[in-house]
Amino acid sequence: MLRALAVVIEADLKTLLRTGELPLMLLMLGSFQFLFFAIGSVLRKEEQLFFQLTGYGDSVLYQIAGMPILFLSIGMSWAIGQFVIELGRGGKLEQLQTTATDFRVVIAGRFIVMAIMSLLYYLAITVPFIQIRAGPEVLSHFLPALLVLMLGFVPIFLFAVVVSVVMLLARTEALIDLVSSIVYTFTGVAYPITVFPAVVQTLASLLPQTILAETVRNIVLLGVLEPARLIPFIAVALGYGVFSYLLYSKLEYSVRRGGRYEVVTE
Amino acid sequence: MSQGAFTRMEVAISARGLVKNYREGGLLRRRTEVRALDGLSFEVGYGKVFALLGPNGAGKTTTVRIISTLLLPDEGEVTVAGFNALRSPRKVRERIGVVLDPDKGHFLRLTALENLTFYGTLQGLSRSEARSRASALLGEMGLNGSENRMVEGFSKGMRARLAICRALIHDPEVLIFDEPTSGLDPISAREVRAKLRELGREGKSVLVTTHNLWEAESVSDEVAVVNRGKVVAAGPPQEVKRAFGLKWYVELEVEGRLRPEELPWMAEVAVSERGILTLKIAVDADPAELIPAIVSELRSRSLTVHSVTVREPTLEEAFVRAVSGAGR
Ligand SMILES: Nc1ncnc2c1ncn2[C@@H]1O[C@H](COP(=O)(O)OP(=O)(O)OP(=O)(O)O)[C@@H](O)[C@H]1O
Ligand SMILES: [Mg+2]
Repeated sequence: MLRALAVVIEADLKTLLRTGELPLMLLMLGSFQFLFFAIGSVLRKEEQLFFQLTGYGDSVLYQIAGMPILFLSIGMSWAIGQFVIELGRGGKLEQLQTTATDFRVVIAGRFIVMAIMSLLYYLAITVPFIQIRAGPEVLSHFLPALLVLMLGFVPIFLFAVVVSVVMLLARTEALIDLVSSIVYTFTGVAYPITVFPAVVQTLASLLPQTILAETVRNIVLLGVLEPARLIPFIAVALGYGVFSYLLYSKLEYSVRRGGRYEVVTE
Repeated sequence: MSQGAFTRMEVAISARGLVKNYREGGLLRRRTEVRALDGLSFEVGYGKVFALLGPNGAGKTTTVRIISTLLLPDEGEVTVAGFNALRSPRKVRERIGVVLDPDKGHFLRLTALENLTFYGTLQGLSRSEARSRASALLGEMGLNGSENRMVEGFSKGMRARLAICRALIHDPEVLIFDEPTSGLDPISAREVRAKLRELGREGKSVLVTTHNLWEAESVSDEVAVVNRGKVVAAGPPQEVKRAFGLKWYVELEVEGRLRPEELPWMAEVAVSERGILTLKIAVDADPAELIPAIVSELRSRSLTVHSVTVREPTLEEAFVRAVSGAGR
């Protein structure tokens, strides 16, 4: 199993590097983050009001620190869903399903590759911007933030699996865009969720992105890590774990019944 | 357990009463059902090359996908290498090598060697085992010069050969090929057929589909003619021909004056430019014993016999009969 996982990761990394997708992706995400930084720095905002709403003194830092979680989340959903679609189109999914290795090992390999990419992105793009804006005193916050981020990959990955499976079952790619806009608006990665009604806040806190964004910001910007914050993490991860497991079994069965390994998503 | 061992020794693949309906449409469109398989059964003995032969849409690919554990039938049972393909797909997957579409399933940005090492490792080999076996197979299939090239740049024939290497990478006991020669030029196709025969000689059990009758005849020990999701004839190619009551033809080139209606047999006669006549006589059984009688009969009419050719019935005819005879 580990041998198979290693070879999947290797194949995926090689493919990523050979397509030249990687530098393009980093460039795009980098310029997006730069825009937030630049516009945020130029515009004058009601920082006092923002502090009252969120407990953070700097709205620019707030956004910069949250943004990677959005990218991470969208990236994962795309990475898993598109990955499966792409495999299906090339006849690879079928071929993989005739091997002795469970397809979930292949998805896990993909996850590890995406996690490595996300960490690289965080270190190469987010960290420098925060450094410039907040000064050297936040430097010591990055290591614990990184660890929490890695822990947070798990529920976000499982969330992505749920989204991808639903997308494949419903045979529509548009779902990813819907989820992306929900994540962007309601999980506090860009706007504080405290501005929303209590119901929305409660629903938002069921999304792993909300918890991760808030925890990482706490660590990076305020230097606070409350161990109690890790409990919702684990709870949400478990919840998505069970849910994605059930959905996956349903998908596998439905694909095997219908014989549709090529997801026609027009 | 003993049941499994028994089955394993007797038959490599057994399909019994397979029924499969494809559902089309969905939430917003009207649901329709297409019956792809309608009670299809056959058995592939150990060490045999077995051809599923049928026209487009007969249900060959559907059958192959069910046997390869990719598709669940609505009814019926399948065992492959002694294991139930519907309930124990993992066990079956460990023991089969599959070529679905010889053009597909490759990772285009990986090299031939990387592709095979990848699939070999997923099939349970160690990296080094997979690599060395991959190199050997690429050599056997004439791809040794291209092992470090990305598959992206491979021609259809090269991809087909790579697909065969991929199916063989873990040295499985059962091999399943869906139209492995489709789209190949005659030379590549011949190489693929030679490989199929070689696998049969090595004692592998091979299921191959084709709509090419000559191909089925040339590679397989047994054939099943499939039409509209049913087996309409099965057995060794020779037996299938006999079962369909096919004719042998004796073709003779003769010179001299001849009135066909005076001959004791029904014969088609054609005249060539130089006055050579070609007689085509249809007979029900192997005409070996009849030939001397035919020749002496012609000589007695002062005809010169230049040549005698015996044409065996081809599966082509069996095929046309089976297809036009069923359900029309
Ligand atoms: N995914 C599918 N959805 C709906 N109908 C299908 C599907 N796959 C096959 N069919 C139908 O099932 C029948 C059998 O198809 P199948 O592909 O098994 O035939 P085949 O013998 O492999 O034909 P060919 O020689 O063209 O490859 C056909 O009528 C086909 O239209
Ligand atoms: Mg077919």
